[in-house]
Amino acid sequence: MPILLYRVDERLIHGQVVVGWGNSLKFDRIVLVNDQVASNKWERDLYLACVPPEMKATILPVDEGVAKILQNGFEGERIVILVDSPFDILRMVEKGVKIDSVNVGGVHFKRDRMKILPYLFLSPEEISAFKRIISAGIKCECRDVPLAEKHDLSSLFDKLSHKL
Amino acid sequence: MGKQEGLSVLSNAGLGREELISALQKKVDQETSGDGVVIFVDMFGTSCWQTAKKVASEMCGDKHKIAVITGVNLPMLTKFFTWRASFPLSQLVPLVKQEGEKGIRTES
Repeated sequence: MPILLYRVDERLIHGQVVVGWGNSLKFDRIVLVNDQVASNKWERDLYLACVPPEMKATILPVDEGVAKILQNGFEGERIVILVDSPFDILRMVEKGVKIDSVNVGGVHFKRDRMKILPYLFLSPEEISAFKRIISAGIKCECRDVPLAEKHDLSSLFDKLSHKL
Repeated sequence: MGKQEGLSVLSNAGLGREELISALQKKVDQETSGDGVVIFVDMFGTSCWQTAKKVASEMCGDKHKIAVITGVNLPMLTKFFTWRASFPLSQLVPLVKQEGEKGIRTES
């Protein structure tokens, strides 16, 4: 299964992913990896309702998502892996998933989060999780929609280092 | 039509999942007059729609009746404001939907 994109996006399956990245990458399936959503039928149904008929979606808890990726599941399909936080990327990496780069989409304003980009606000814990991802050799590229300008998260952290 | 009472507008711009939910909950809580609350959303399947559906399912009850309509357009809104005093929510929502669909035409 070619994994075209690992994306961190707090809104999970929504317009930017389905319309924006869907049209640009022409993927077949979204694999939403999230313990909370996977364990709640109402939430699963909510996100599955957002998937257009030409696209498939699977919702798995992190452990099962990792197993599926390591077994090379979804044979022959073009996949996007979607998580809502850097913590789940770290969990996947710690469990043996090889990731070259992570697309950082929307993580929005919340108390205790600091503004990095208009669509990216991070708490101290999230910043340190991303720093661990970066030091594991994984490129973190911020881009909310395919045609937007790319920003390397590591360089952004360097620029903001006096505030971090 | 002039300025309408009992109308709130909310954007998802820059708001996280929980912030958007609590912002919408506040708006719904403010609208205490009438038969209930209708949440108009532009596009089905978006974060706005997810939020509306979540808030509707959590807050719908004795205090509020809540309906969610997607694909909002101007004909829907004008009919909604014209008719909302005359119909209960259960009849108003299908009428508004019908108006919205009638408002979409092509000319060639």
